[in-house]
Parts: sequence; structure tokens; C-alpha cells
Amino acid sequence: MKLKQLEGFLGDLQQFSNPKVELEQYPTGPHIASRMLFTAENSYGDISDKVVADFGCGCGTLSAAAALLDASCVIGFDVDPQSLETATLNAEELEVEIDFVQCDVTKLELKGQVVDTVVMNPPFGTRKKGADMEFLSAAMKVASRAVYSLHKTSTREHIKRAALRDFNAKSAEVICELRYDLPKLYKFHKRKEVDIAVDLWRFEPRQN
Amino acid sequence: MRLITHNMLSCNIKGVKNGFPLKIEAEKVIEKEVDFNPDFLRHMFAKIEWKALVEAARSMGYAELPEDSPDATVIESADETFLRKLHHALLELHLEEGALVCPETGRKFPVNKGIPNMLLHEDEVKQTVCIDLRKGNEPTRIRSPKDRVLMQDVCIDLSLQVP
Repeated sequence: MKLKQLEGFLGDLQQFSNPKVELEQYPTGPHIASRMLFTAENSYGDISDKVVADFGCGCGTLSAAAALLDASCVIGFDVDPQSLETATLNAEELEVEIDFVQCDVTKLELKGQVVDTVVMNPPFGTRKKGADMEFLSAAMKVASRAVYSLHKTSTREHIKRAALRDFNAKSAEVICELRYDLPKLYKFHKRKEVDIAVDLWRFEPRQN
Repeated sequence: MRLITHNMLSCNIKGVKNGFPLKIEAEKVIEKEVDFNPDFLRHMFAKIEWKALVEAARSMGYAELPEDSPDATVIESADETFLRKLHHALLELHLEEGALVCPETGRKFPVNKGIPNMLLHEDEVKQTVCIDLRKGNEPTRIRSPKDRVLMQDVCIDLSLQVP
């Protein structure tokens, strides 16, 4: 599949109908999502024929991208039942198989080493402080190959330190810097649109 | 929900020592064919909990998997009979309606439209504490990874989980 094709498919997905601000529900745009997964597959081989988990999957954009790039099994985890309903519809539209689990990933303990790669666009921690770190910690416990995650560029040094020192990372690299365009989604948003600098990270867990 | 997913889920209620595997109460099971990928299955076979899979498949109405996990020769052989059974059990059976039940507490996690609800109630969530030496060995709750880092110089044993 070509990048443009992938981006096209992801652009057709349904997004949050009633986003919940306390969960930091923002759609992962097709531009970012397609590039994130395309890089994971083409530069690192972390998607096709692998078991991929999407933490905080929301409406399933990253999950869909993983499925379209031939992951052998994709599982999306999210706390919000409405998003999961939308995600289920999206998977049906694309005719891909994705399992969805409703849970709090930060409280979940997944057994075994089944998951190869975790992909995620976690909350940035603007509503619930430390949420971004909790997601990263949880992902690093679960992935056996790699974790791909988006975090604000302003937190770059902090993330790197935490990943290497506390979350069992063998390596923590910023693959690229992206502009995350946030449309005016919530009432408290003053500007019509705002651009946030985010880093796309790839973390490799140490083997146990 | 397919059995490949079930194979990684366990009950995380505080105090539960053995929340794996979750028992399946199947009310509605559907079958959906997907492409057979023998290499992937060989790779997966080494990582799954075999007994949990056999039991789960049985609960879903599929009893073709052998009780004992086959040895390497069967997996590596060109004969794909076994791999086809593994494929079917792991990837083609979907639990649409029913429940996942904690083997220790009996707590039911409902499954609706194929999605299991594993959310815990407030009183079921584990609290992580450390013993804060500055406070005369008093247990202090660790709320977040940041807390954990802040406490590591003043606490002994950062891994205590209290019921």
C-alpha cells in the first residue's frame, strides 16, 4: 500500500461525535497517522505479520492503519464505550479485523509476550497530570518489539530520561517532529486552529 | 473478541493472585474466515498459553485442539493440519455476547458486541505504596510514575501492593 492510499483510507474514517475533554479526545489526523505507521513498517518492519496493540485507540485510526499495513492481529484499547462503537464501525467499513477492549490501559496487566508492537497517540497530560507517562509506562511493559508514541516536543528531555531510566527502554529515539493540527474542538478553545509541535518516538524495550 | 486477545487478558482486581485465564461464558459466538498465515502461527505458538487457549476454545464450542501442547516437530512439519486448527481457534472464533469470568473472585466482565468491558470499579483498583522512611515507615500511596521517581530515594520497597 502506498502512503497516499493509506492516508486516503484513514481520511474517510468517522471521528469523535461528542469528544470528552477530560479524556483529551482528539482525532489522530490521517496525515500523522499514515506517516507514523508507514515509517514503523517501512523503516523497522514493526507492523506487518505482527501483533499490534493500540493504547487509547479512540475511534481506531492507528488501529485501522496497522490493519491496512497487514498486521496479523490488531487490538485497540480504550476507556470510552462511544469511541469504541465508532471504532467498530470504522473497522467494518474498511473490512478489517480489529479486536477492541474497553479498559483503563494504565491499570491493565496483559499476560505474556504476545504483543509485538504498541502504537499510540496518548493523552498529553493536560487534563490528568502525568497521563502521558502512565501510558508510556504501560506500553513499555506490554510490547516485545517496539513502542511508537506521540508526545509534545516540549517534553522531549523528560520523556527520554524517564524511558531509559524508569521504563525499561533499551533505546528511545525521536524519529521525526510533526505538527499536530488541532481544530477548534472544545468550547474553551479560543483560536480556530492551533499547531502543536509533537515528536514521534520509537522506544525499544529491553528483553527480559 | 478473538481468543488471541483472550489469551492476554487477566483479572486485575486488587488482591487477586491468579486472575488468569478468564473463564468464558459464551452466549453468542460467530465465525469469520481470515487468511491463513502459517509462519505467523508458528511464531505465535511459542508465545501463547496453551491450556488457556484449549479451554477457551472449548467454551466457544470448538474442541479440536489437543489437550497437550504438541512438540516442535509437529509445528515445524509441512503438515498443516494442526496449524489450521490453531488458526481457526486463535483468529476465526469471535465472542460477540457473553462474559469473561475471574477464576478467583467470580467477577464477571461483560462482553457486548464483541467488546469486553474490563473497567474496574473504584474499590477494585490496586493501590501501590512504598514505605516512607521519613515518616517512620508509614505506607505512602504512589499515585503516578512521577511519584515513584520522587520517592525512590526515601522509600524502601517501591513495589508493595496493598489490598
